[in-house]
Amino acid sequence: MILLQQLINAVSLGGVYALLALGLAIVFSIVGLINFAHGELMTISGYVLLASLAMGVPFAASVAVALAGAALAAVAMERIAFRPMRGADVTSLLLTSFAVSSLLKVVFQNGISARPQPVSMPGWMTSATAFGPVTLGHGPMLCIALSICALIGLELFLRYTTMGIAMRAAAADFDVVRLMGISAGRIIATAFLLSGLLAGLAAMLWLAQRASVDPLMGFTPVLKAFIATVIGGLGSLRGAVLGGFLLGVVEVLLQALLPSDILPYRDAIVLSAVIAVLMARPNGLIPAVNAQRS
Amino acid sequence: MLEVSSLAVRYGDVRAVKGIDLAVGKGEIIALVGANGAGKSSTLAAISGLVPPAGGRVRFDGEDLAGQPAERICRKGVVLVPEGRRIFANLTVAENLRLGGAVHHGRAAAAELEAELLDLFPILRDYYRIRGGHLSGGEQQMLAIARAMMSRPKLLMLDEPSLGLAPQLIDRVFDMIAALRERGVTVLLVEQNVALALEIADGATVLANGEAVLSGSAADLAGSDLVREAYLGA
Repeated sequence: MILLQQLINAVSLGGVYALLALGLAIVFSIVGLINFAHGELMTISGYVLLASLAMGVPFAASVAVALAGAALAAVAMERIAFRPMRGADVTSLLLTSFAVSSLLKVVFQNGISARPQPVSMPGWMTSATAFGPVTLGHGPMLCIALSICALIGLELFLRYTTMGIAMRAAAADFDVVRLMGISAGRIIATAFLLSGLLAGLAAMLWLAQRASVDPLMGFTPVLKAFIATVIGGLGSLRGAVLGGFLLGVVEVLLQALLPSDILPYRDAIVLSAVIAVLMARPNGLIPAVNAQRS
Repeated sequence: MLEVSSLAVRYGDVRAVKGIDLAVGKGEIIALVGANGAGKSSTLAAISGLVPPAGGRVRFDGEDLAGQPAERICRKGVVLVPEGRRIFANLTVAENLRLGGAVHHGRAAAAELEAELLDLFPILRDYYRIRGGHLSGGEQQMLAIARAMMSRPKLLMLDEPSLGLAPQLIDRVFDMIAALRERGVTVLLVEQNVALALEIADGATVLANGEAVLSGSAADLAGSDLVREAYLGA
């Protein structure tokens, strides 16, 4: 029974990693940018939620505002920092995103506070329900449900809308998409918008179980999401989702099952497994259609 | 309809196109022929906006397109079918065609145009839900042309449509090009197979080392000594 509870926790953490990894992968597949400032989108979303709640906006509306905040922040990031660098090589783009990330962290630390700010989540979210012998937390279950809804929603968008199809095409051959008369700027803006929305959702799910925002909030989960995108295959959307769930599940299960004297080595064990995966499949578990970018 | 004057293309220090002039009238098929590396594809890339021209003008219906982004040039009705077809291999035939028609709103009109094109290229109807990457070279060329036609081009530019195709398929592709002309499409055709190009074209320009060395009606060029010796092997 404990195992079932742990499994729920594992899949819920995996869901957050998957959403973050997917956001990174969408942007990478289209502009070849590994966005290190993705974690700051999560943090921004957390602070927007905090501010909105402080102003007395109801919880559900505050969540919507926080999601919109992350999406707009992502689009603004592209406009201000990445658009002038369009066409630059992967390294320059990577360094630009490092700069954006460091800058935002300092702004959060000096402009808001370096200390964690508590967020009052509704009581039902942090409580649990007993199903016979099993007690399941509402937070993790909500997290799993929403992650799955977001993944299905994104899949439908990519499969059935013209913009979604154009994004899949742009990941393989951007020039020809432009030859079809589809604006490059709109495709890139949509990619950032989606990645921001996913980061915002991940932030909400992260907060549902931790209930505090601090300037470094996005760092650890996004670091894990990077690992997930690499395991899955850089630029591959399905790979990012698979990598995210895999990493979350392995982390939580190791945490639960390892004897306490080996527990401090958990991350070392996980990262060794990542290296092993990459030695067997250098392009990841599900390689991207267009490997020439990476 | 299209008037190109002193168009130049540069890749770093390499001058790929050194100021060529070219004119295409409405309803014509004009061929741009020449050896590998003569600057044919670079000329089309510059007209389509994929590569910004280093100099010169590209006037289309009285407006200068030079330097405008590719997506805007497509919306003006100048559409390139790039060399090597470059269909989206990971998308289905249906999705490829949908992107081709993405610039035009109005679902009903797009569906009607698509039905007409599927009548013209029946093989695409058979493979409608199949991924483009599973099609053969000739089928991919049909798809690339149909995809470009979905945007209702006024001027269709074809870059080496015969490349890598078996001879009987080349004939089919060229029959299609002739059929397009009958639908009122103006064509600028780049082709290494000079004999084939001159057979279908109204006029032609011969490029060598980034310069236009000869220009005239297809019949005159087919009869000229230079073309016969250099390109037709006679």
